[in-house]
Amino acid sequence: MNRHALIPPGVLLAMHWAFAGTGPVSVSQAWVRAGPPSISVYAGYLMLNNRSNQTQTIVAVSSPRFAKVEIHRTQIENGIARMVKQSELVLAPNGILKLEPGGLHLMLIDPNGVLELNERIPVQLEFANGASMNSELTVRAAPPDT
Amino acid sequence: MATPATESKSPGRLLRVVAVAIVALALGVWFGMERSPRKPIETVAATVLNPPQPLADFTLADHLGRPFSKASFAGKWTFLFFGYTHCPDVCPTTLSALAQINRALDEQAADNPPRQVVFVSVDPSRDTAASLAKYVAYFNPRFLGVTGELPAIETLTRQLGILHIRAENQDGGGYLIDHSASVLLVGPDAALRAIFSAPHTQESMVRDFLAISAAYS
Repeated sequence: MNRHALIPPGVLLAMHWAFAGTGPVSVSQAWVRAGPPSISVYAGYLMLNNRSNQTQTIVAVSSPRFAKVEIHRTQIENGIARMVKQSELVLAPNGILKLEPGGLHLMLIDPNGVLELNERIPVQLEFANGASMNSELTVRAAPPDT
Repeated sequence: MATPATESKSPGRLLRVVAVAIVALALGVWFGMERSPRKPIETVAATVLNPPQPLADFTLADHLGRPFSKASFAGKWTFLFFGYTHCPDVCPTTLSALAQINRALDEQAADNPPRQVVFVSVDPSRDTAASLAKYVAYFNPRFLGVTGELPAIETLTRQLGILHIRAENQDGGGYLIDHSASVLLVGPDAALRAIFSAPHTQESMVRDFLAISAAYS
């Protein structure tokens, strides 16, 4: 039996926050660094703003444009850069979390087709409480102006 | 008659001795200064090596298949960075920064010393000359990609203190490499002169490069 059939459609709709800003988390400065067409791995960056009084935890990210999306942190210790895979992104109540070059980032693996400059890459963020939200990362050569 | 003459000679001899000593001291100081920078170079981001570290020879090839060795540093300043084309965050971020720095230096005085930017792969099993060619050209058509057999690459990385360790295996057969994130500055005499640690900001690196290259003569 399809367990989704037990949940009224209205509830499902409510659990899927639109990126227009109805959910507790908003996304800004979301971008992917453009790269040569030959590469298979990209980095995505964004700023997550938790506007709620509860901790919000992102446990997975996916995109129809990539085979796989992982959350990583670049750690530079004694001059050595190391990529550390993260199992989640924890957003403190009313807190801001920045994914930015040289730090936390989305690792976007194996694109289906070349990424075009200014293309908007759809991504879905999944939360620990089962909710999800859609957002977009714009393909850019340089960080957006802050 | 002889005595007064001797007495009048004595202060003159002393003066000559003092003069010779002063000249000798001055020459010594001058030659000493010639060997090391006149004063410490003031930098904001770079760690300057004093004295510079001359490089031993090595044999690699650039992305066009031309030899790349110690001789390739002669007569120009080289920004040297080590990474791999499957590197998602640090390498594109650093190469973009180097492209900006290069552009900023191009836009400054035309008498800037000649420069090159060289990206050396630490992942030769995946980074072929052809893939490096596409990769570096994306950031700047004049950037050089350099690769070779791993032992040859290590002839260069070891003497520069550059570390690279194959790390985490990804699902699907890929892998990541932990590697030094610093940009090195090699002088026109093929000696390592400065190290820029990450993060690399345009303004401070441009300023430091101009200070370091100006102090070189």
